[in-house]
Amino acid sequence: MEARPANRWQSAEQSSLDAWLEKYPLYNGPDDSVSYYTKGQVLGDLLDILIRDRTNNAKSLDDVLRGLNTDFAKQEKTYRDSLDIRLEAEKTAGGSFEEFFRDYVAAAEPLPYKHVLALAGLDLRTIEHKKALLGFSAERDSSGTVTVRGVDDGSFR
Amino acid sequence: MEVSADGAGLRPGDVILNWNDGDLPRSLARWVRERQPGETVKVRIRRDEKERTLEFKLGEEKELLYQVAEDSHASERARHIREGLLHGVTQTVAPQ
Repeated sequence: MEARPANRWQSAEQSSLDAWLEKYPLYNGPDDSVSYYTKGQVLGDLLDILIRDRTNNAKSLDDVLRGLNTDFAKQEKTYRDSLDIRLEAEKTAGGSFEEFFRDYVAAAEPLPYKHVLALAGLDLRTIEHKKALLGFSAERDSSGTVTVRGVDDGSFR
Repeated sequence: MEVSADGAGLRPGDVILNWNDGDLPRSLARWVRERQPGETVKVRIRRDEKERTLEFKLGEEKELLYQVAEDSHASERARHIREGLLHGVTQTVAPQ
């Protein structure tokens, strides 16, 4: 996710709203979109740690989901996107998550990995890796013929 | 000298007939993920009704890989939260 340039500008919220564009292959490129599944899971992990930290590990994201089940599903009520999830998380943790939802769910600010992971005794490390590049793109038609569609302008970066 | 697909003369519209003297991989994207930068590829192509063979080397691109690791110097409180997170349980930290 962090290697996708689109992660710098597309929020998880916007990605989910743009899901209908996934049927167009160009949209799925690393410059054009980020997966709301992947970004949503990372946000969930960070929120889980924040809830545990605020409650001295007495509550977790599981309690937020149980709360949503009790307060909405079991009462056959619908919840408002983002807002009711934030309010349920705040009720669980006993404090505001306004900044978290504003900056990291609704916007695409760089995620606060270092700060949040440290609360759970975890450390984010980066390793530089060199991967092979084909240097061109190709397309296979229905008869199985493969045709070169585009060639990179040099491919040694 | 390293020759890329571009440098070897591969052009849009070329039809790829074979790959390294064999069948074309079903997915080139998957194939290249398992290769190393600088490996040579030999392709037989058809262009303007004529066949020719081109050789080029795979390029390279740097990417950052991310790894979450346990901090051996974490406080007891942080270690407790870590255990809860990793095992999906909640339990308050005992007062010290």
